[in-house]
Amino acid sequence: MSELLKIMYVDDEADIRTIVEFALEDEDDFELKICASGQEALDTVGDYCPDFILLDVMMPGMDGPTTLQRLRELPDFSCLPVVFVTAKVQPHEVAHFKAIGATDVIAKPFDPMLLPEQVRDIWRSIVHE
Amino acid sequence: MLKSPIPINETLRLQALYALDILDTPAEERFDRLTRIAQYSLQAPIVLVNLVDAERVWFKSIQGLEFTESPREISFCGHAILEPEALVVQDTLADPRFSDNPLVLETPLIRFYAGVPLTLSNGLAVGSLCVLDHQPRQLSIEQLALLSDLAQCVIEELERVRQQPQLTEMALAQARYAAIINSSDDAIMSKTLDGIITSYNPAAEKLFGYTAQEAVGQPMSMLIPPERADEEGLNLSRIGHGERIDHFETVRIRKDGSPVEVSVRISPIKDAAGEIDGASLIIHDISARKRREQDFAKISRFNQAVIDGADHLIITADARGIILSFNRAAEASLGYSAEESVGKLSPALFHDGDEIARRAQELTAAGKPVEPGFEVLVKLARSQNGGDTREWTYVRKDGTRFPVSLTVSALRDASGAITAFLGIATDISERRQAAQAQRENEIRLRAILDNILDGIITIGERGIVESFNKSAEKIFGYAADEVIGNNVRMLMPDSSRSDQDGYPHHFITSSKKKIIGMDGELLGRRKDGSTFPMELAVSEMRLADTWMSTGIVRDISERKQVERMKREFVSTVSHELRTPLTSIRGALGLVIGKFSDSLPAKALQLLETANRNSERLTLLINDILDLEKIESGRLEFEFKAVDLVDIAGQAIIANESYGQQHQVHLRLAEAPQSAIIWADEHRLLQVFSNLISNAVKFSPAGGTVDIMVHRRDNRFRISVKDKGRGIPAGFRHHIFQRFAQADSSDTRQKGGTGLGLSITKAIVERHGGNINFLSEEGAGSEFFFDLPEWLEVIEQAQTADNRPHMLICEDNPDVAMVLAELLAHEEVASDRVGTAGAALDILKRKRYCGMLLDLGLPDMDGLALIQCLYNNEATRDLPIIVVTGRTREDSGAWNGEVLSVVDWLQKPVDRERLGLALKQIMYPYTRPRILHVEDDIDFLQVTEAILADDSDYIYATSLSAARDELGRNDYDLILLDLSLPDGSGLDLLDVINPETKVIVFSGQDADKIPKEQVSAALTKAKTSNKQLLATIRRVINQKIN
Repeated sequence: MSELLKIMYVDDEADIRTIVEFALEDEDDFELKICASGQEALDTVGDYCPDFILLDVMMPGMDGPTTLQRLRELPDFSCLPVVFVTAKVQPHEVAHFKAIGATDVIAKPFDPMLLPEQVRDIWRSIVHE
Repeated sequence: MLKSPIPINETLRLQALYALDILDTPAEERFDRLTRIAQYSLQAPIVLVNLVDAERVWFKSIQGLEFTESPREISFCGHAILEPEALVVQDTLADPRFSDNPLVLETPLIRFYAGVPLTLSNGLAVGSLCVLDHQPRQLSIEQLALLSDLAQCVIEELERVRQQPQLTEMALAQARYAAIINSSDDAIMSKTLDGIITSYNPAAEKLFGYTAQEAVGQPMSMLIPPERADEEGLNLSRIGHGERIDHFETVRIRKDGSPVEVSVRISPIKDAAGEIDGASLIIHDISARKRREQDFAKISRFNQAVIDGADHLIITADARGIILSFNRAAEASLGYSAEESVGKLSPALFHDGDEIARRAQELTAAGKPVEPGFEVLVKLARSQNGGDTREWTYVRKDGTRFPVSLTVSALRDASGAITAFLGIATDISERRQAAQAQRENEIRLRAILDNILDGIITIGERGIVESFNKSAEKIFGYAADEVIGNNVRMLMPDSSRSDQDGYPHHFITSSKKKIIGMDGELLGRRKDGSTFPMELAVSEMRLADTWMSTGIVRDISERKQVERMKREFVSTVSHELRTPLTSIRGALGLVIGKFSDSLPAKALQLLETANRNSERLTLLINDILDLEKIESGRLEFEFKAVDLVDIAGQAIIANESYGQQHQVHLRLAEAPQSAIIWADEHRLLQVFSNLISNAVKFSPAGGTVDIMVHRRDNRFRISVKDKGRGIPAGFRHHIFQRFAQADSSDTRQKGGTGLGLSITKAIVERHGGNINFLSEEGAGSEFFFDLPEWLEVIEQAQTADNRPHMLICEDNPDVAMVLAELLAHEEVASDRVGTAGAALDILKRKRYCGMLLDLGLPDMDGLALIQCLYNNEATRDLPIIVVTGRTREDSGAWNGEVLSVVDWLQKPVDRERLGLALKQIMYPYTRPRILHVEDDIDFLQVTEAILADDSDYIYATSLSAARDELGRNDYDLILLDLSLPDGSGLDLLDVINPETKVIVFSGQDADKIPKEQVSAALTKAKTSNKQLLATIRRVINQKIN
């Protein structure tokens, strides 16, 4: 994993943003951009050009799935890997997320100490495909 | 021999003889005395008094001879009667008249004869007195004179009878009386005044069983029963006084002791002097009459009992309306007694006067004028045959009333005149009440039907709606009138209607008393066209001759809504709980993970407590969510064939660190090489984890938890065993209950949510298993459950089975079984395999006409299997029906068209579509080419009508035409007649391809058929259409296999 992995994390919940920031900031191979809403993510994604996006589902205004849909409409991001980070992890919900184009789902609550490795695993599986 | 001559006065002679009235009478002493004298005094062995009848000589008295008569023509006496004095033949052999007479030559060997004619006073000789000897002799003059004297005595004796004509008339009269008495059917007896029986006729013999001989001279009392002994004395004394006793009925005793009922009439008998010296009795057997009387009395009593026992009021009245009879039911119902009614009251008394008056008006208005009163009741019965039935109100003696149905009929005599009226009344209060109750019941049922929240629809044959309740109206938006009489299809959305034309048929036939459709739900269609989810329960019932079904429809839109909301609520709640939990757990995790070194020990300990509890809260939320899903039946399982031993291994690895924390060693103590079961791997891991973590929790430090898998017949038992403290007896029965923990302090000590075992139990049960445990307090516990082994190959199709064979490749054993049943229903036998490997294996050694293939196989993708089969020459042409949850479009990358895939069926499998696909596979077999060689055109037409639907049917009417046809085309089957215009059908056998099956179908029972070339032989007249079809199918199926 020599390259720097550019990750965008989108969540309306400030506490969780903090946790994610703390969990991932010390990893040398990650570069992190944090957004507080779907709109902010759409606004900054063009400039930041992340390798993949970690996206909350339940957000006021624009929820995760809508954000994903909008993102797909942007010319350069139709294939950008998006992973939902959500507490909605009942099997039918996970199936639904995958059906609308999510690469994977990380369940909340997650273990912050294991989060970096979880992200790396997902990334490896994306690269291998 | 000189035949005895006939005298000139023969007629007179015979008249005189007959007048004696002596022929054939018994021997009489007065004559025998004389013949004995002759025999003795003349020293002759034989002496006879004989009388010469027209054809015979009859002996009135015989000495020394066995027989009583002889033919007149050979008789000596026939000659003797012609002699004036006597006929004497000294030596019969010397006399030419008699020398050859059989009486001389044979028995009685007469050598000497002397006969004196018996000439009556009128000069006519009727016979002779003769002496015979066996040797020639002479009679002296004295001897002859003696014979003559004796003859004269005989004549006198003969004449004596003849000379008493008066006496004879008396005798005749007596004889007549005797005849009358003897032929009387009544016993006639006489007795003395002392009661001794003096005469007794044959009827008396018959009646009493004593013969006349036994009875005469005996006392009359022997015929009288002891208890009536007085009767006889009394009678005798009355008779003694000259009284006659007329017919009295009494009982007498037979010889056998049985009593007989008799009627007796006794009259005194007077002697010549007019003195009473006895009595005559005429006794008539009256037992038969008595019996009839008794029977009649019995019948009368019976009739009376019937009438009295009847529930109906039966009243008769004379033509004027006075009651003649009044049965018990009438007494009981009306409160009047028969005594006070009969002969006194009129039935009109029991009627409501107003009703009678109204009826009178009615009748009058109808042209039958009548005054109110009894006549109103009988007016119609008077003029018609049969009864007049109508309802009336009866008024009891106490004034209370009750409704009756009264039938009045006229009783007529032979001339048709009315003698009485018969009224039969039935109390109809109960009937009225029942009718009322039934009406009320109907109203109540109607009300229930109309007020029930479920729609209730009854459907007759062919799906026609017969009733439609209020709720159904509400649910569907139609008025009942709009639906009744129409097909139930109008209540279904278009898609359902086109899906299955026989929608009602479908739910009638396939879903008795069961909720139909996916998830027990179905779409209904309202009048406005909108659709809604509904639950439909159908039950069938038979009413009279027709089947009808009742559908109970429940609009479940609301329930669906609630279910959705509940699901969303649970999802939301769990989400809302997890969001803050994510922050808490994250924060604690990061502090402990990254800064533990710089924290004071106390602070670290507190943070770890907080962290542990946040983890527990997460588990709790997960368990609650799982449990909610289990309860609502929505816990999703992904079943596949898995190796239980593998899973046990994984579970041990996953729980190893937990074990280490508690210093407990986990060990796979016992396991077979592999144990394949049908399971959801992740759920099963959950079960293992629950059981292992429980076992670890309650094991002492340094202990071991043993995990075991072992085979029990065709199941596997999974056990998790610890040597911990065991389960307290009081806790055992609710160990699988929610939030159940033996010791509430465990919650803190041991962790866990208290939901683990109830979830475990639910999961095991969904796998078709049962969980249980053994435990000994202080010694440890063992939890175990059994799961059925998953069989890779189930071979059921027997080679001997004539049905076509198919292979089912499907890893879900339940689905495989359903498919096998569907195939069996289509007359197809099947083997089942659960993996692609097993399929490839079995296809190497067995031949199938097709395969049903599930795409999701555990060891290989179904599409890859198809490819693999296609690549192999031997299996390239194997027709395949894909059965899958995937749609064909999902497998877009793969082009199935080039392969031998006959159809692609979505699960759940539609039976009809499967049937069609099977037909496609069987096509070459179910639609064979048949050549019928037969010259009878009519017969060909009939056979074509039978076979043309299922086969390509061609015929040839001669051998040559058949040869041409066989040269041009191949046939699967030849139906062969034997006698054809140009030869025998058997001649064709040489040119028929050995692959082609032959059935001989001819008019005669053929016995010279070469069996090796002919599959079957049928005889035209003896073969039904069904037999013909069955035979063809069987023969063609042989060809397939």
